[in-house]
Amino acid sequence: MQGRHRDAHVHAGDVHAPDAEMALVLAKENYTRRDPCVNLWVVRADQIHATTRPAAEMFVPATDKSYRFGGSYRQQRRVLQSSYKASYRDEDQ
Amino acid sequence: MPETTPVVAEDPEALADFTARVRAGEQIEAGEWMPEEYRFEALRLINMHANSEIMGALPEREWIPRAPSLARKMALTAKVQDEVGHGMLLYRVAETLGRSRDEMIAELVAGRARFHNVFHYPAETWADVAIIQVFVDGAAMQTQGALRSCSYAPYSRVLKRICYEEDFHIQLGLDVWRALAEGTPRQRAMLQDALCRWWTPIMHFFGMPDRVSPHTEKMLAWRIKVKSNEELRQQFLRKFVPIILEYGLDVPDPNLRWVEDEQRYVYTEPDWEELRRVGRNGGPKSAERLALRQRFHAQHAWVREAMSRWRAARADGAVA
Repeated sequence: MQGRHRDAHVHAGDVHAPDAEMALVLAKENYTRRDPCVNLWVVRADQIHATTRPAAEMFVPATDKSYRFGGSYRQQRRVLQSSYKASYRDEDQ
Repeated sequence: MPETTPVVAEDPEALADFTARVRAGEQIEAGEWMPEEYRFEALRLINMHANSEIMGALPEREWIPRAPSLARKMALTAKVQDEVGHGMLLYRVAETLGRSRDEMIAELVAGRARFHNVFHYPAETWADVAIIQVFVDGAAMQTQGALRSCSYAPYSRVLKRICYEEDFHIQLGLDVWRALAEGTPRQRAMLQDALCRWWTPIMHFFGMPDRVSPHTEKMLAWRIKVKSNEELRQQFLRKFVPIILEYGLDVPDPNLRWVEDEQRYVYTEPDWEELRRVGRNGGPKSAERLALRQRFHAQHAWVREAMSRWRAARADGAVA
């Protein structure tokens, strides 16, 4: 279900229905009684292709991937913008 | 459903792996390997919970036409609809453990299944609605809140939604409770009378004392149960006895008192034989409510039939 237009759809739950039209009706009754919703998707459970539970291992990075988070760049920027650096640069010019 | 646990020789390696995962606080997903005994106990619990949601809608449903104002009527209708919705969610979860919904419902309407003790009692006055919404839902909230961290992931997920909605029910009930407790002497007397009649069923709600409850140990080890019956009863009393006292009403048990040293309430032991009898559908309203469920199940057979015929017709290509 989608809470507001342009939000990503989020999985809310499952229903027991003979076809997609009925599944939409039941999903509306069961999952949209309180929280805002602007759009619903239903999909047959057997049409979902998923990785297995042990396959969780394949998402674990083999090496240190901290560079993907950019934490060190933010640290460098802080050093660069510190007053010490600013005065140092001034002197240089 | 058989009453006794099946005895199955499990693959020792798979069993050890499973036990270690549960012990480490992991949750088991639908379709994963699990010991038959675990499947049996989890299914028994969830099936009974599902039955209780749809049977639990009945006592309050009786009060929808008689609610004292339009606002109360709308809120009560929403609450009853929530309970039936919870039944749907829970039957879906029970289905992942290997029983069909048709089979479970058929067993319930035939009077061969169990549902929670509190739903076997009459809702005689509007004050009963307040008691059900505050104390029965409040009691359910202790059990279900704890079970959110149970080991079966699909159950845990639906319990989060259920507790979110139960909280609304308690708020609604407290509002009805407050209106009556701060009302006329007749309204206060009506509330006190309802509280007295419901006290024993509510004390029964959490089940037998831990020493006699046959499944407790195993259920706790599998984390299909998170807290023992007595722990939950004490937790409930700590939260709800103050509400009774705050409004100057009497706790219906003269022996109930807080023991500071032990940090617990002592109370008069309720009649456990009554709980056994009621649990076997021998309560004052069991037969009548089951008959009502049967009547509507038969009356609405055409809806189920229409849905299954529609599916068959689509499979044939008879309709687009």
